[in-house]
Amino acid sequence: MQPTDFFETEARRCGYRLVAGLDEAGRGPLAGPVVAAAVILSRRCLLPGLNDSKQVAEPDRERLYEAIAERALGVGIGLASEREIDALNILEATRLAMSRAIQALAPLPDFLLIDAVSLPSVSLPQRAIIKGDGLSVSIAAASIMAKVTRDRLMLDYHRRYPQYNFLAHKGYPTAEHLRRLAEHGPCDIHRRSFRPVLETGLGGLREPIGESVQ
Amino acid sequence: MKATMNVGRQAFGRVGETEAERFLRRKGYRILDRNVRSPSGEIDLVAQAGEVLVFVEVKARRTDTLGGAGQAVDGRKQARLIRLAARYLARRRLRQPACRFDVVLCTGGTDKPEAIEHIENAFEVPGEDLRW
Repeated sequence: MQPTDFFETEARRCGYRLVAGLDEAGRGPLAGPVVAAAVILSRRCLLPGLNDSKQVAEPDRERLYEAIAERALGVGIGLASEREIDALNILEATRLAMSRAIQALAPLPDFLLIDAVSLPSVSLPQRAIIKGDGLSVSIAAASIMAKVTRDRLMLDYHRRYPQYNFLAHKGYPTAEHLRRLAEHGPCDIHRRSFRPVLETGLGGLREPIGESVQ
Repeated sequence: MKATMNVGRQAFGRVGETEAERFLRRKGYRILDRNVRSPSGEIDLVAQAGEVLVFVEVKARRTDTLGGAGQAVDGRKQARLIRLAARYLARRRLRQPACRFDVVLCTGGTDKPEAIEHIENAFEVPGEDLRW
């Protein structure tokens, strides 16, 4: 099933005009930041093939990324670093990345459709939708923006830390990643609070977090 | 606007924008914004003419080859300008104001355009396309 604008239309019927979809990429990986995106689509924005980023093949994701960037009313991206993930926890870090994505978004939205989570610290009317990335066009668009942004970041990290082959697994705990992690130990972008990283026994070497957590 | 564009041509384009702005001011337009950038492009000028909000595309060409400036706003470019305008309106919370799209053509000359032509309402836009 393809996502529709059912939830967006319903919000508009309640008088909201600028409805943003929010989603995140990178809660599961052992390395790298969690990336959130907020997207406001115009009301008759047709984006053929738009779906939850997990349902879309990589070349199509890239194509959709460009189409959304060009045609959306607004796109905001927010990150929470691996250090922030370690200091908070993955859920709170996801919320932090999402609120940053909203701060980066212009125009400012007046209603939020969020994949799965609620944002108590954001004082905007909102609705959390389970499996929202497969149901709402705005959340699906946000899932594409977040996923492509994160994949591009992980490509940069792959160049910096080639021994883990981040290019292939993007930091997710695949057999290959676990094997390379055991072999080389964690690098600077590994999430120390995640069990497989902790269990390498090399997790405590990093400097304690100094700034950037509110 | 291809990769072959040289600095001279870019500079000519900038002079064209300045001249177009001066031209519109003399006509009594109030310039609200210039070079409104966004990842997908730029609106050259936004002006107010009476009650009407005018989005202006400035085209500067030295010669009339390739159809000159008049042929420069094709359907694709129009669609992009409409999306940029919708974004502009949404950012400023402007609900369905009276809007128009104009093109200002600057042609000829080597350092400075010799002729300026103003095409009001260069293309029609269904109001629905500018709603947010």
